[in-house]
Amino acid sequence: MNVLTINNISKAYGPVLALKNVSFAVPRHTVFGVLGPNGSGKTTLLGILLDVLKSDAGTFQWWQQPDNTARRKIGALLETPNFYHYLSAVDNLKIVAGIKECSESRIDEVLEMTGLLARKHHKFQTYSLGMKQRLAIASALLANPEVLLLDEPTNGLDPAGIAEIRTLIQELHSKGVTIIMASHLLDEVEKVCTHVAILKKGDLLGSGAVDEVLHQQKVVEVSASDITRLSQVMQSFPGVLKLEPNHSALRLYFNDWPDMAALNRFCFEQGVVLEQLQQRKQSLESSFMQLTNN
Amino acid sequence: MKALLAIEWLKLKRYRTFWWLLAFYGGLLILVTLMVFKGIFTVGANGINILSSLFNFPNVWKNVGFWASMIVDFLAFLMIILVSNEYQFRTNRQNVIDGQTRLQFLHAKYGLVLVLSIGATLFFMLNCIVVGGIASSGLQNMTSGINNVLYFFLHAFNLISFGLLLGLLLKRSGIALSVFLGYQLIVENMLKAFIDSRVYRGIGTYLPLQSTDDMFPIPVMEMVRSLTNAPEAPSLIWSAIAGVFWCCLYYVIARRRILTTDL
Repeated sequence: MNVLTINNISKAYGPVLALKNVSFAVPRHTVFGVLGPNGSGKTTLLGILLDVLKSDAGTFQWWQQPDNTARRKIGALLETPNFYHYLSAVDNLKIVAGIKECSESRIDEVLEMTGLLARKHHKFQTYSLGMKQRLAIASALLANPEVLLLDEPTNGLDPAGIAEIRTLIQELHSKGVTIIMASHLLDEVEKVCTHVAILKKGDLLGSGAVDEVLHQQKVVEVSASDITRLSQVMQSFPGVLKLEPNHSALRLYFNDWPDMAALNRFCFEQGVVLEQLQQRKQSLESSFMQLTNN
Repeated sequence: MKALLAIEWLKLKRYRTFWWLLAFYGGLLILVTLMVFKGIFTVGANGINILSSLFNFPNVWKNVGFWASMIVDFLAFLMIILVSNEYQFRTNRQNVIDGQTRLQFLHAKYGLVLVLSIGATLFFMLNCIVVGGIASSGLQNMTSGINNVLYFFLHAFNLISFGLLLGLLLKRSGIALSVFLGYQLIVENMLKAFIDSRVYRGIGTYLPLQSTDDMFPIPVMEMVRSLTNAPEAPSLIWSAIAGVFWCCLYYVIARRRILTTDL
């Protein structure tokens, strides 16, 4: 079952097309990353899904029903945290509870989860950027959401804060919460996402399970005293897609892992003695760059 | 509506500007009423005060109503500030992200306009009853001219919902306040003069803010009125119809704006 279905959404800002016929679905119980370089339309798309922006064309449905109250079941953090600057964390969350028609009893719990309990009566305007971001996350968690929609959730957080958010996302996912997360930090996405949609200048380049969309080639790094000879030999090894010099070594690209013993034997039989033979996984970043550059 | 107003109350109860502007309205209305009533505030020279000193029923409604109809501007300023703050701090977006519909956001603000208008009217009424009771030595004729209470409510609603519309359209409190005052004090008066002199005499009074403001004309002495040709109040019923029409138009514009544009 899908929690969200998007059909042919388009949006233009004057002459600039921010989204062009974007369609995909978010399956339940996934951590769904919306990826793309800056200006690719990620935030515009999330803004449309939360009804703060109007699309020029296309439709979307939460839980496959056109329901105005759907957003109450979504915990969302879009761009910067927006709160009443003259109110404390508690008073701000009371407003959120009022809008979401949920109990105020979880306010302390979510402030504790995000490390703000000690400052709960301090005004929002006295908070640092990281604390503001934490309050926004607390607010998103307040109503025990079925779906969490996060736009760059680690913005403004220190490394410890980033790790905490990652753990929190994984915990919530294990409890059955579906998480939709826009990010340009591929490292983050690689660690937590199960599915992705890739946007570039408003075009959807692909969507689905991470492994399917960002096909990660397998890389074997080899070196020998005569790198030129090694390069000649390796060109005839079965399954090699590409050869790439890397400092004093050679990178071999495969679709699937080759038999390492066979590779070693092949070199030896051709008169080349390997000094290094190492498996490496292509980083998500290079897969992403490959996809978005083509 | 009750739930929407409860949320608005959470936003307002710790907002100092809200209390300050309410205090301005209440404090200034009491102060001006007392000063005119006691003859401390006068207009004229050589011991002659051209301001009406008639505070008995039913005169008190129009007399205090004139001053209150100006002072209620502070509540329109409040509405402008409240709405433009939501845009400036992007909390309007957050309210919608959290689950409010765009129309609920608008209706919550209209609920506030209604509450402020009712509150302003009740306070105006209380002032009139106290001063009128003293001047008339009793409340026997209190109901005479009490329909002015309804007209005052309409004027307050007109002004405050006009403030709401400007806040919504212009999104910046400084700009919206300037446009409000510029329109109310200069543009509309010029338009009124132009329409009355060049188009059709007597139509200018039905312009958006004039329509209800002219229900409470300046309370000068009857003698001065006859000498200076001071304006008589236009037909109250037609003014009220015009006022209701403009309020509906503000709502239609605000609704269209909030439903169709990016927040």
